[in-house]
Amino acid sequence: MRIEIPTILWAIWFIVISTATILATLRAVIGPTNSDRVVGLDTWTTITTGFWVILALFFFQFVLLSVAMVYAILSFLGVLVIARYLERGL
Amino acid sequence: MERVESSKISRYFYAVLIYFFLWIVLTYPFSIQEWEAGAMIAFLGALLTYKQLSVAGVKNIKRIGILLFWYLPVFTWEMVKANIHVAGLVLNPKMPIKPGIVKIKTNLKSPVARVWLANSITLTPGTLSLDIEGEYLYIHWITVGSTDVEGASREIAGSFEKILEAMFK
Amino acid sequence: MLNVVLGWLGTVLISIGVFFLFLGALGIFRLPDLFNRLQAGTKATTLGVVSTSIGVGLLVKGWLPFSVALAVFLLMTNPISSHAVARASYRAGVKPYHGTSPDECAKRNLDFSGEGEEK
Repeated sequence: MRIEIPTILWAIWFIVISTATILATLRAVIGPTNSDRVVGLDTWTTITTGFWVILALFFFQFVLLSVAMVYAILSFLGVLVIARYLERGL
Repeated sequence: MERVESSKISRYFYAVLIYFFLWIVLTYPFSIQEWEAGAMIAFLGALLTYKQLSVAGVKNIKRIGILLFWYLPVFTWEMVKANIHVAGLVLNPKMPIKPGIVKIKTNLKSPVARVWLANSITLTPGTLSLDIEGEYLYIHWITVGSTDVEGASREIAGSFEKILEAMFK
Repeated sequence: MLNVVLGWLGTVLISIGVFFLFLGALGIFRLPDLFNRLQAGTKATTLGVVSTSIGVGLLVKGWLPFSVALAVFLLMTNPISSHAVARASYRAGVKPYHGTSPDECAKRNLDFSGEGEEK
């Protein structure tokens, strides 16, 4: 039930996603204000969720899709907590 | 706010339906044992939390119908347009942006409908909902069109407001 | 036959998704101020991850319900978190890019004056 995806396509996907993660990390490191860092973190977690999904296809494990779901839920809650902290302190 | 509450049985039944559906989807490889456990947990969990889940009860199913067959196509199309817009903006070496924060007015009454409107605005071309204050929404717009309240409301929220009014009336 | 068509459709969807994830990160990196960054980041990465997960669901038989649930979850929560970050950082005193021409939000008086400013 699984069509063969050429190796070069896997390589392109992984390289592009890694570059995207590096760019988001750079924004999280150099961001002028704390809010910019939070934006970088938010984007980083979303990209990583996509990466889990692709990894689930790569290793052909259904469990990794569940991992992606839990990761999405936890990153959503984390960003909400950080936004609340930015607004009025803990 | 001024939405009428349905009866408790209707709300409870709706909560059971929603929980059971979520359980089926999340424990995917279907087996009858999972379904039995899911039914038990759905009935017990709905007993605890049906008051928080919904106000309108089973009437929400009509809303889900509108959501699937009217809202979703419009929304998908708007989202694809938004992403082509963002792609053109980011890949252009000069980045022709002209940002501004405008104020729009919404006619929607219930808080849930306003949340949906704000979410839709965030994912449609060039707009990001920044703050909500009563019936006014503050929108960050990446290439500003009209700056007065009425024009901006028509231009940003027009297409979704009709659907959401039909959905939450 | 249907499997092959679905497979190629899924591959194309994953490629589009990966491309838009990259565009989101590039937008985060290039755009000049916080709110523009949030715009690019939210829109592009949301479409990217939704398209990726639906593509994976089309490729493997039986994964579609879960991946559609994942896509719906992301579609509903991503705008909320970006809205929370935008609102919090505007209230915490992050100034928009200097070319931001009408700034209606600055005209109102906030009722929690100075509570969320960075020390």
